[in-house]
Amino acid sequence: MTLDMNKLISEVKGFAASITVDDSGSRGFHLDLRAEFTGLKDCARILLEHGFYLSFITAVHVRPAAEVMYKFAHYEIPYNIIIRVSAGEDMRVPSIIDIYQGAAWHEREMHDFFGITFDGHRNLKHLILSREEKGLNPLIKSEKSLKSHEEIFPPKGTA
Amino acid sequence: MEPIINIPVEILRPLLAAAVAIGFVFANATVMGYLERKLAGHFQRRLGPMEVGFHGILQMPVDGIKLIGKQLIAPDNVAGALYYLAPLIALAPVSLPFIVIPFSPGLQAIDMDIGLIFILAMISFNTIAVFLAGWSSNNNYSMIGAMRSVAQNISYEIPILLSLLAIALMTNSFSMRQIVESQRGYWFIMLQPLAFVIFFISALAETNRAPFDLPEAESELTAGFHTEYSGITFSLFMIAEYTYMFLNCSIATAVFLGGWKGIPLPFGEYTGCIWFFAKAYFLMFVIIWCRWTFPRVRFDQLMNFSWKYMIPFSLVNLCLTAIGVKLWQAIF
Amino acid sequence: MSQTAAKAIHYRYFLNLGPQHPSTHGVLRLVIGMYGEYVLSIEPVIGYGHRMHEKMAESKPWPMFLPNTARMDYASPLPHQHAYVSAIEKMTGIQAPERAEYLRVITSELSRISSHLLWLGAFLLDLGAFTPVLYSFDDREYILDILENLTGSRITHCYYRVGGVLYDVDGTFVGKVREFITRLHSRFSMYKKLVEGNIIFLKRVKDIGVLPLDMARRYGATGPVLRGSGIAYDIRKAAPYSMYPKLDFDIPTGETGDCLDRYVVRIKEMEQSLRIIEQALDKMPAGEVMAKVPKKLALPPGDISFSTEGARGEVTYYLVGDGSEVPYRLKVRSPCFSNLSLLQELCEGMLLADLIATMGSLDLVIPEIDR
Repeated sequence: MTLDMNKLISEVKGFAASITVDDSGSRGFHLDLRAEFTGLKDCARILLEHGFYLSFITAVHVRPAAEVMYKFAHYEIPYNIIIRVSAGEDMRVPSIIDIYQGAAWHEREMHDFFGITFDGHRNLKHLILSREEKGLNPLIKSEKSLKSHEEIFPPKGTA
Repeated sequence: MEPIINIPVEILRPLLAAAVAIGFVFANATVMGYLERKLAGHFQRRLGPMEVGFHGILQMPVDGIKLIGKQLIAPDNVAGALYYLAPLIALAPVSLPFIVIPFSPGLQAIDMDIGLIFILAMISFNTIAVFLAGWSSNNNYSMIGAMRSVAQNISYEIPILLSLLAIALMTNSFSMRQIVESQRGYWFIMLQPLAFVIFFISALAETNRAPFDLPEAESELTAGFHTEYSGITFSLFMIAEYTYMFLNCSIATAVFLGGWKGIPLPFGEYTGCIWFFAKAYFLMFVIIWCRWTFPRVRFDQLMNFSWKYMIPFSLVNLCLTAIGVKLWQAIF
Repeated sequence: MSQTAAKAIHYRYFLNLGPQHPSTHGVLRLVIGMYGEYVLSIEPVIGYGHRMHEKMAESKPWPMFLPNTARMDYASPLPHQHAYVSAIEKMTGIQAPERAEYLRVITSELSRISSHLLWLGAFLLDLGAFTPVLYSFDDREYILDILENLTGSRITHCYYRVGGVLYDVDGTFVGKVREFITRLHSRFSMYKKLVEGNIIFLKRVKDIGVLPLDMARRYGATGPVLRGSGIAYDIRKAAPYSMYPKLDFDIPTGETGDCLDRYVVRIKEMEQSLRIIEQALDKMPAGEVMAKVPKKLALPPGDISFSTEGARGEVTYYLVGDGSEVPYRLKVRSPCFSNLSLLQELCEGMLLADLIATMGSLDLVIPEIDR
């Protein structure tokens, strides 16, 4: 499957809040998207149509709200894409398991570690932690070590 | 000189035979257990038991003593008497066929007219014992093992019977002694190679040995039908398995490989048993060899193999034998 | 609902391929809904070996996480370590000397071969063949001895450092590795003969557990599991790192994606790894094995993701720094995690024996999934 980079970027532009292209891939990503709550599923759908696979879903706890990262890569073309979504104060993000079934386990893991709820995930029970540890959320940082978003991800002048 | 106790020979002889048979069952299990572990070791590039005794010879008696001393742990909801009865049913009928096996011309306890059928009937007790063990253990794994074993044993009884029936057609008798004696100058394996192969493979399946050891498939079912058995009850199953192996091998020896016939030895009436044991234990060695070489077949492939290949082939073999026997009688 | 489906639900029972089981490689629990011998549904329960490595990475300076990287995937630990040190090197702009990079490649490939040999024995053991595991472990002993002489441990090596590797190698190491290459080449024909000509083995693995490409994409399958389905995707060729651009090797693929294809792909990968090691030994220059690294190296703010090809698939370390020596967040993407999640959809309607064969062909190491 050949990848039409420009077509992909133009399709995704409608749903992503901001796009950064880095063809050298010096940070490990060639395309850096920031999506909103409403545009995430459409971005994922477009990526699946272009043949990307889901590498991982992870999250980082920053002030004010945790940030969820989705990394995609492609089997035929060396092109990595990261989508960042802010989980908001209520820690909710839409689930993409209708598009990428592999996301089911990644989202359960994030729910275990951070307490993030994924809307539309039909089976959001514990995966790696046990039932007794519900609510533990080990990767949520304490107030002392929590840093702000600007400290952790400096503005992209330096990308 | 008057004997102190007057025991008629007719009673003494069977008593002695029974004692020897039971003793032989346990002696065979000891030897076979040791052979299996040593051979498994050498097939796998290691040495097997070496510590206990010279090259591990005393390993099996010591293991037996250990197993007798173990606590019998039974789960809570086992079906009472059936759980403890199953190993006994496995072991009890196993010494009976020894009275009809012709070890040598002078060493056969009783020569029944239906000796062959008697042995086969006793061997088929294995099925009910395995099923009882699996069912009464109240464990899903054991139940699967029991179901598999019942289906497998039923399917592979038929090729055994059909292949032996071909021999019975040729010798016109079921008596073990007559079958051995009618192999003058040649062995039946030369006339009936297909029947021998079918019988041997079906015997592997009957005794639940690899590559047909699904009822106790270790990597799928933990331990299959004997998961919940510990200590002496487990070892009773193992003794029964080795004895059934020996019985099947001795049928094969008597029927296909000429039994006690071989190069004549002094005291031929009794020393014929040396040839018999040599042939039977060679077949046991081949069975052990098969176990440590082949992977396991899948269950539906096992059933396919029996019903679609073994039974038709053995039926064809039977027909050809019948035609051959008739032609032989017509010509000569 | 059709009549058979209704009957299946009515007679369904649950079999617990429990945490302790001879053929789940590690502590994995599968709750299987079964109808007779057929698998209706499975639910993997993981987390029995969870040690929270990602939290450990946030609570101590980054050099102290190096031993952890070896303990996640203990069968082939060095690609994990390679990803971790390369991520930090890329983030801080440090370049390891060429000799160190070649040593990293050689030891990673030895680790890969050792993992595949372990998998070979365990897979055949699942199928019921008790003997080949002893033979493959014999070959693996040579690799473990070589790596023990070099790094000090048999499986949990802690050999790579940011800026290079810890120890240099001498002629004994090179001699032993070359000897091992010759020996393993001569053993491949034995493995082929012992196993692939066996009709019982072929009937257990041919056309079993066919993984369609579309399913692999939706679940993120990588590694030999994906390459068995026909896609030649290997991080060493797709996004080359370290010295792989200078080395010449092929990516073996299968055709249909059944268990036999995955088996053949791994055997051929071992041959290609031997080829890589030979070239690396020939091309390795003399020189230092450690670059100049400041005593306290802080991770600049920002994130970076670095992928390497482990024995099981794509190993990615996603590292977020905050300007201090302690990482702010470390995410370890383990290939078996994605590979196991596709088992739920793949195995509906299989026989139990086929499920065991398929799970064996996925090459799972549960501590890597649980982290």
